[in-house]
Amino acid sequence: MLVSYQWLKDYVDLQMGPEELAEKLTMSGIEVEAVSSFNPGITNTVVGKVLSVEKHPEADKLFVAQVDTGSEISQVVAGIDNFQAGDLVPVAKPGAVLPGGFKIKKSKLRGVTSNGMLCSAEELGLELVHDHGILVLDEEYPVGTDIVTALALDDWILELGLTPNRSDCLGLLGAAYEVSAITGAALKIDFPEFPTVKEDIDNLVEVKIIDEDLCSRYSARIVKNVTVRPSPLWLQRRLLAAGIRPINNIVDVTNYVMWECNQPLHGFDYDRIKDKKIIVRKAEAGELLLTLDEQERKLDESMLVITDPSGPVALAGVMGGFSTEITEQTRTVLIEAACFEPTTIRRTSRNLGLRSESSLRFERGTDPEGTIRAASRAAQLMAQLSSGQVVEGVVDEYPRPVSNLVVPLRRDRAREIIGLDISDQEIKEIMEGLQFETEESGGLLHVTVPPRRSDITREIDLVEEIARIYGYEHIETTLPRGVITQGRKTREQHLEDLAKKLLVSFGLYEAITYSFIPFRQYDDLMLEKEDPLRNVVKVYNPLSEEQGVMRTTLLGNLLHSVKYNVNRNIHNIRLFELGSIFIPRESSSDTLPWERETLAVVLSGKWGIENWSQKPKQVDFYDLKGILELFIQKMGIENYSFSPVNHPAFHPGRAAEISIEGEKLGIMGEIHGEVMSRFDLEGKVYAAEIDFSRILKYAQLHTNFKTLPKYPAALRDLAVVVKDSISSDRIRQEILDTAGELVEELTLFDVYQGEQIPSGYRSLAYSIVYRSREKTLTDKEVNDLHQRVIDTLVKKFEARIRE
Amino acid sequence: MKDTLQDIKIRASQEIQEVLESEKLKGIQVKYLGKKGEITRVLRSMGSLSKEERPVIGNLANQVKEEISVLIEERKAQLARGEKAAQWEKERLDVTLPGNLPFFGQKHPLTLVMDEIKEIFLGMGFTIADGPEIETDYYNFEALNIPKEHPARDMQDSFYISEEIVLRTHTSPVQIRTMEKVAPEVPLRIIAPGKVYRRDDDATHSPMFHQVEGFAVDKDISLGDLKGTLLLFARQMFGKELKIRLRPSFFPFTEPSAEVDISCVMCRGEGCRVCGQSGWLEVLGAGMIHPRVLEVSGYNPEEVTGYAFGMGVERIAMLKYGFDDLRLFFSNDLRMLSQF
Repeated sequence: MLVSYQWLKDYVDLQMGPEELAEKLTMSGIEVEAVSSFNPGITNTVVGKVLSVEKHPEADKLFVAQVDTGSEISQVVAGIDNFQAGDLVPVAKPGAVLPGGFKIKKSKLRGVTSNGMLCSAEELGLELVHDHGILVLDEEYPVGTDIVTALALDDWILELGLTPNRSDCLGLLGAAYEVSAITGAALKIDFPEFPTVKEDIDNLVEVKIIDEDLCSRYSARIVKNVTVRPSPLWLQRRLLAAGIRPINNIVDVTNYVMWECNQPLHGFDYDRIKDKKIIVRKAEAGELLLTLDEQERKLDESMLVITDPSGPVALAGVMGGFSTEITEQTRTVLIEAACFEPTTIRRTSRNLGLRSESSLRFERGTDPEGTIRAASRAAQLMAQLSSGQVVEGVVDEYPRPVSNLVVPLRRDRAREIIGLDISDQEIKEIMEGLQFETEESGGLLHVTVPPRRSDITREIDLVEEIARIYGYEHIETTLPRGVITQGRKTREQHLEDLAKKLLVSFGLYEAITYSFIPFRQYDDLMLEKEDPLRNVVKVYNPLSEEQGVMRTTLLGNLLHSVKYNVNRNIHNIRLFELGSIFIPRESSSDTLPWERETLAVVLSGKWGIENWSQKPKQVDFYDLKGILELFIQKMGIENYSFSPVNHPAFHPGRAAEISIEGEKLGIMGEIHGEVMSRFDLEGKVYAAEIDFSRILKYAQLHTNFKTLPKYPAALRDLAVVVKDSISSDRIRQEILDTAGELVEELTLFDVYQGEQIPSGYRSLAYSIVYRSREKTLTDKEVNDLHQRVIDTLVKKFEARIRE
Repeated sequence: MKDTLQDIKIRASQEIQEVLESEKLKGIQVKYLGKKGEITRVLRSMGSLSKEERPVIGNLANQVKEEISVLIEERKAQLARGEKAAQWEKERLDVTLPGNLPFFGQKHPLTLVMDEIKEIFLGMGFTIADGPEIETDYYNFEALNIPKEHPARDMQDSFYISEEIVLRTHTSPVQIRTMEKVAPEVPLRIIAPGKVYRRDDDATHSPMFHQVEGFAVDKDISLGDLKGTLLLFARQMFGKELKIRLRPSFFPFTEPSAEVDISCVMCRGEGCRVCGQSGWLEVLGAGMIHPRVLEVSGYNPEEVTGYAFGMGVERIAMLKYGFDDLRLFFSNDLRMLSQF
């Protein structure tokens, strides 16, 4: 909402400047987003009186005028002569600057000196409607008056950013009430009385409201014998200040009064209303209406229309119809001031993609008590500006009248909620400053709220008025008292924090990616058609297909992040993300999906930081596996295992499923070459995705400290040659099972294939630390134990012992 | 013989001084002090001396012997010092060469900011709650006093899954869910961090971003308490000198409502580009929980009151770290991530 500072001053006796007013408004809840000068950039330009106009002696298309600029008589050459002696015109004197930085100099045109320039509206940067050529002023001003003052361009525009509850300030009168309440400035809202012609208006027009729930009031006035022409400059200028394009005196007045009273108005060409009957009803499906913008609109039953017996003549509250438009031929105007139901207007304007200043106001709700005042104000202005006459009386259908609301206020309650020691008297003064009447009774203050403040319906609304008019800045700062509460994290929150801390300590960076992904990511990940991950929650209105569905995997996004970095020449990548995936429930679409916390990791490039002294190696499968193993262990989970698995997104021989006690925990491995190329990646990327909700389920963070060993350990090495189809896990398990608790540490320190090892076999070399917690093991005991381990491996796996 | 001994002493000390490697001192020791050394030779030839001379020369010889061995020991120590120094010199490093950095990762800057916010409120006795990112229309709107067709729904263009299911547009639904569970018990002091979604995408808006919701319900919570809580928070987050300012505003689920500004962290309130010359930055929305919201959540608004606030984590992170494009947070550019 654009508010002209000068215009606002018509209604309130303001003693402060625009900047100070803006600050006050902002601090009381009407945010002023900007204050800007209305002067488009004009200097040194004055009102001049034309003394004479003659043809240029040397040029057919030029004219020479003598102009009195107050300080002197100037000779000015002009390119047009749409003015005559006696006219007042804008004269840009030598040295003047016009909008766009255009500088005026003394010059010679075909031998004739020109001391300045006569200006058109365009040259002054104003989109006024007037005759082509020099702007001939339509009011008397002393010669030499600065044009900025004459045209009231020395104004300031306050741009209000209104919250949805304060639609009352969509009119200058509403803004004036607000300004008066917060500054104490006196209101001076007083529309002039005007003459009318005696005629029975009920004989001139009949109004019928069919759908009373959608139109609670319809008021109309008639102005006869109008002459449609451009509005006077003062009115055009005010519309420009409001950001509205002037059109003609009739339309301009409807807009002017809308801006003034926050009541959208519509002017019909009365003579083109069939049978002089207006019927307000829902549109019938398929009905057509050619709107003012000459678009054919197809209507439906959700829309409210203004009709005459021939059909729709306007889309209620949104846009008028072409057939009853005000034209230069219009002689009689019917002014409509109505109150329409907000939701209907909102839907209609949204469905048709038609938003107007009118629909905006109706959507937010208008004051049904304000229709007659606005219609009369418009009638008076129209008659005044168009040499017409207002017909006496108003046609007023008001099937559902509203009345002032009386809201009882407990002042103690207000003081408690605000935390403010404010006196009864101060509260009363605030209410009265808002022009709310008050009445003391039964310990309550009964506050009468006028319909223009439809946002106030209950006590808490009044409490807010008290707080904001008093000023939030004057409310004392306190802290909640009462019972002390303990701030702590839940087990899950602790585990999440720990998980991130661990992964960071392993050298990974945390990524955050969008929760929505393009569905084709599942193709890029080469997931099979029946893969359950393809069962997704779809976004009904995504910004684009790229964000079309809610993710059921984090892998695709992380692969994109790898690509994003590679494109920027960053090749050593180690990222993790901990976030939700969204799994649809099988039943109806109206149940919430299951949101499952998921952890994903990607590694690529080199593992370590390369510099003059160290050359890190390329990351591999086991780097990733090591991270995951240590991560799982540090989350206090012991019984996990990695087993080979086939997954379409991973290398067939380099993927492992991770499980805990038979429950699937996740997957890890080298990304499949085909997937790599679909993500436009080269080299190798290792990735893992883990169901974090299962980690949460099994995590065990309590540490039972084991006392440090008291007895010496015995170290034995063991290298076995076994078929390479035997997984190292089985051998490890066998050693542990055989030697039991006496194995303190078991390290696989070498895996070897090659010379001396038959093909199809490999050598696995272990170092074993044997230790008892009860006694010192003798050499014999250790040797016997070790031999038992060897014998078992030989027997179970046909292992050959390497010496 | 006296002269011989004097001569031995002079030569020996000269030789000792001239030795450069400690190995060679052994030879000098043998030459002068050994079993067949020069001093021994003098002592052996003492037979030719008189009785009176014998002890004098004997003493002198021992004295010279003593002196030479002291000189040898001193020289030995001296040379050892030099050799160590030479060794050290050989081992000298260019300490200005860059060190081998430990391998390092880091949390996302948004997580760092959320951690800090959590830490501050945990210290103030708040607990942390969370709720689903995909929400019902009821929790995201209805229960928060935003019925269908309410003009306030214009304020946040939402992503829908179906008519009744929406990607939450704020973390406020957690307020309702938590209050429903706990009501009518008080006190309640909760923060709820998490992802939220709105249909916007430009340098200052992302379709997905993060909020932290906070609220307290108790027997007599006031707007003054809200001011105090937020001031305490803002000062811990941005510094002791910081000022806050509450401006009346409108949210359907709070009343009275406020927009909360902090004094500009860039210019300390002097006015700069970041704060649009105003000296203030808008960082939070807040207010007293609307009685209707308390009611639908199971509280009696006549008996308890509450305040609530919500802040954009990206906004705070941008101010704290000086980001100018919000979308960078979701690029996962390692050049960005590794700066923290």
